[in-house]
Amino acid sequence: MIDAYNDVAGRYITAASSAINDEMPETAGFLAYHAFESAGGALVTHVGANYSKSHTAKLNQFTQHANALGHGVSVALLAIELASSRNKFLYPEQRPDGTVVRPRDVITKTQATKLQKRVRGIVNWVSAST
Amino acid sequence: METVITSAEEIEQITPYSYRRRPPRLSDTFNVFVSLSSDHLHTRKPRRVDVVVATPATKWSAEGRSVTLYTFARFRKHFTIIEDLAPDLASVYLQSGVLPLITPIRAYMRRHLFKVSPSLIHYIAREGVQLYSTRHD
Repeated sequence: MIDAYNDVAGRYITAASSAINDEMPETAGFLAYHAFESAGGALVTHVGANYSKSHTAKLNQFTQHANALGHGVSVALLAIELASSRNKFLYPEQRPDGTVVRPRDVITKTQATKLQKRVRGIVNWVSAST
Repeated sequence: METVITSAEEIEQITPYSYRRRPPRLSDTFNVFVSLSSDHLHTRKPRRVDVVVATPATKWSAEGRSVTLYTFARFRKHFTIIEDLAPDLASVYLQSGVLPLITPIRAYMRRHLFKVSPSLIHYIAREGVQLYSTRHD
């Protein structure tokens, strides 16, 4: 399972990079989220724990174990950013005033590029550590 | 005494955490998160943010796994506010174990939200704890 999680993480972060090149920053954001969550699966499985089925619990497990290995702050930061954005990257949202926020309105290409690079750093760290 | 919201701008009247007794039905970890994050936000005073209200969105939240932060702010892209607040909250997340979910809402909506979404305002008023407001500076 560890290799499988790392494989998913690597493929999704590569896909995120391609999505940025294709001018789809919100898609890149979600792909980065999935890469991050999958890297968490590799790390949590590596330390012998069961990876939760709940999105929130997965990120909490990942952060807790990364913290024990000295990467708590960078993983915590990404967990907050990605968990806060996940649904916004995926679903259009009708505002109370009737206007609609599309996923493409949520993040810029510059922001998505920076996010993708930081997630790639974590994916690489987990892959090298597990 | 329970806060009652009856008009548009009164979201700011939600009792600040420091003056409110422990919200009912919430875990100790939720309360630790609220206390620590309120201190961090008042120290840094994020410049685009007007008001932050914490609510337990789900049963997971009430158990202390996550907390939704309704954040009234000025922005073009939602991620700008998420990216701006995350560094303040990362250390709180590590200390408390509660994952903050930042939900930016455009600041001008504070004046309209009661009319267009009374259920959301009532929910925030009933369940929310104000972590930060520029009016209390």
